Amino acid sequence: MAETLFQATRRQFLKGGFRGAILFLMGAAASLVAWRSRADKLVWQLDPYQCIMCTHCATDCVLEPSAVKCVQMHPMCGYCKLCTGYFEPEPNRLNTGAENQLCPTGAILRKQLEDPYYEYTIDEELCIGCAKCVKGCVLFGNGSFFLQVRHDRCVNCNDCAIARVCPADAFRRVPAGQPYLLKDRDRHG
Amino acid sequence: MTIPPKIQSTASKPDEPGRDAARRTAWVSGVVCAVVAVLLVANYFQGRAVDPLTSAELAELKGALAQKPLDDGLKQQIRALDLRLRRAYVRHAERGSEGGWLLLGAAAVFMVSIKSVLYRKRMPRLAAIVLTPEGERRRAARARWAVACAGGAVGLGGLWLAVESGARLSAEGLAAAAAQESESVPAAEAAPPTPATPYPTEEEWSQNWPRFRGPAGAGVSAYTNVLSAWNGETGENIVWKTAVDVLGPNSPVVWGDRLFITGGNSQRQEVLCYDARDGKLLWQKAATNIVRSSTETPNVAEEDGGYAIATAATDGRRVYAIFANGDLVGFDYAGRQAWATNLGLPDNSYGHSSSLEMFQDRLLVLLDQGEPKDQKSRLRAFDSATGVMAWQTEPRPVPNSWASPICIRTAQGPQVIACGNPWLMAYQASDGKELWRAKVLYGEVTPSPIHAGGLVLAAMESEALSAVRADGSGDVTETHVAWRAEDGLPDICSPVSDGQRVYLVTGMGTVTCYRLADGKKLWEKELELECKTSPSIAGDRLYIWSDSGVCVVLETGDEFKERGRCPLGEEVWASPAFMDGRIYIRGKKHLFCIGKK
Repeated sequence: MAETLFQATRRQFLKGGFRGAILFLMGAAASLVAWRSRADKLVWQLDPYQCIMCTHCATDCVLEPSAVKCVQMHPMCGYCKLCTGYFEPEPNRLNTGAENQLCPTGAILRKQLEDPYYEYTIDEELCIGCAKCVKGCVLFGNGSFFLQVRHDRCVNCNDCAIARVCPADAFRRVPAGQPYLLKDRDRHG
Repeated sequence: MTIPPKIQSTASKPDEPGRDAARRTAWVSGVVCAVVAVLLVANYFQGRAVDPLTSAELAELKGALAQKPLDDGLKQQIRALDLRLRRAYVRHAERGSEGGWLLLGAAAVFMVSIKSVLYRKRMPRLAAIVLTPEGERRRAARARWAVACAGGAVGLGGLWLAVESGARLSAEGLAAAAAQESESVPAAEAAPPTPATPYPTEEEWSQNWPRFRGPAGAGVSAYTNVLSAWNGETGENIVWKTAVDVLGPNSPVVWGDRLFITGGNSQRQEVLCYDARDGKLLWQKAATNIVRSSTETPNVAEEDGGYAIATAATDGRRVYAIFANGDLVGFDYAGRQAWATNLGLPDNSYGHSSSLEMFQDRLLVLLDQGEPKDQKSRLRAFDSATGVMAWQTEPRPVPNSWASPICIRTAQGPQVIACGNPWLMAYQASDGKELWRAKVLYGEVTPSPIHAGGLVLAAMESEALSAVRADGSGDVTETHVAWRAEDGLPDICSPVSDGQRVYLVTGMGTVTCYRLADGKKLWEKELELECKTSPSIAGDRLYIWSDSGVCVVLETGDEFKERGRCPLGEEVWASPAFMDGRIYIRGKKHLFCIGKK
């Protein structure tokens, strides 16, 4: 019985060997392709130090609302009573009335800690990335508000629609393992 | 009872179970898809109509409230409108999101059902297949060949990909940002690559003309190979002459082969970049996207270029400019605005004119405003890459002034010197901490200070030319003023020194020379020309430009020696820039390059 099972002609042996060699070569080629293509995946990100707060992030993203959101760097925040990122220039009163707020969607939450310190946090669900608060904070405050592409939302287009129109060329690709470009407190003293 | 033939034909056939159900599902899901898509489009346009970001009505109401801040009715209207806009915006956003998911679900059902219908339709009938042993063998052989060929093609394709694309794939990652950046710069605006270091070395700084009156702000050229004879009217020794269509008496700054000036009016404030080799305008860009804290305009003479009196600064990476409305802006060498900010409308009776200075990667701005009691005068430092303020001094006890600050190197470290009425003050360049002050100035302080022979020299009409040692602390008026002189004091022009002597030029054209060591007056001469341009020195030549454009070339020394007078052919208010073998000077209508052709 065993003899019957392993009997093979020379032609069958060569054919089997040829098939085996082809399979091996295909496997090797596939492995080589996989190995050579192992570079880190890249994702889009916005350099906050290049951003000029132009509002393109709110209007040009393929998503609506945009995948770009304002983030708050609490260690840099001055916890100001008159936050120029929260309030309109020359506000009527320092309260949360709509006439005083800069954010068009009311996405910044203002919470009193102890007078005169107030904590400001971003409600990202509401934020549309218009950068009004960022401009106010950078120009007259510590610059703790800044924009970032949020990767729980970004679809990582091959040709980012915002990057294409960004007048400051602030968008670039960064490794997916380190997807955020945060501000550095030391850089601001 | 018999079934009519028509109904029989549309019923499910035994070999196509559920085909009719699939068809109906496809119809229903297709209609749902179409309806949802139409609703989504309508929702999109409705949503745009209630965008709180662009609501003109809300902006109008807020503007009205600014006029009537105590009007509670307006506040209530704003709050009601704001609430309505935000609710509508959120509702439209939610509808968009839900509609998107609904469309996706309906589309999935549609795809599955339509596929099912078509699949059933293409099912072969059993009767169509005739099995024969010979035909089966041929099909099996063809199938093996097909598999072998496809496998070979895939293998070869894989090998080709591995060999050809490997290098690109591995390089793509880290080079992506750089590649994208270079692609986004139009060829016409291609600029030299930005150096990797954040600021230039001292050597690079001194080899260029990066700010008002040169690298040290003293009007002294590092190059001695410049001409002392030319004629702008005949074109003698004029390398190029380019028309300038913007207003502003600010002076050119030069870095390598790039020359920058600024100009502006109440509508546009611009920076212009020229090729210093041939005078070709490379780009002309206006400062944009600046949020101003005030809608007021400065009280300046627009027709005389009052918006752009202050001279720009450059560090080989970017060029920086300040305008009379308080706009401070940085452009890279390709003409892209790197950052911009507004410092508030300067409270200055004639308009801001203090030029920019730099210390390493800090851009220094002297903004003396109002009266001392207003506590608005400060020296500020901004990060040159981002425009973010790095430090500012305590309020300076001086009113508005027009002199430019200078950064000097002393044994005690780098200092920033700033003039005001009545204080000549020094600050630590790294953090703006005050080091010393001397009460040596008076009136509307306009001439900028210089540093020569270890002395800080500050002059102002109706007070004195004072030489102050820069190694003191606190009030050094009584302890560190080396000497004072009171003849030939300038009203606008800054002093200049050749290291041995100090030269002063008044607005009426009187040149006075003092010995630097002890302040002894050496000579005085009337040029019989009116001057607003600060004098400069290159080698042993003293260049004094008059308002009429005639440059008087003197020999530096203990005696007055005039070497010649060179007409330019048009009025000059700006100070010249000296580079290797060339002098760049801005006339009222043209920019000139003087040198050997």
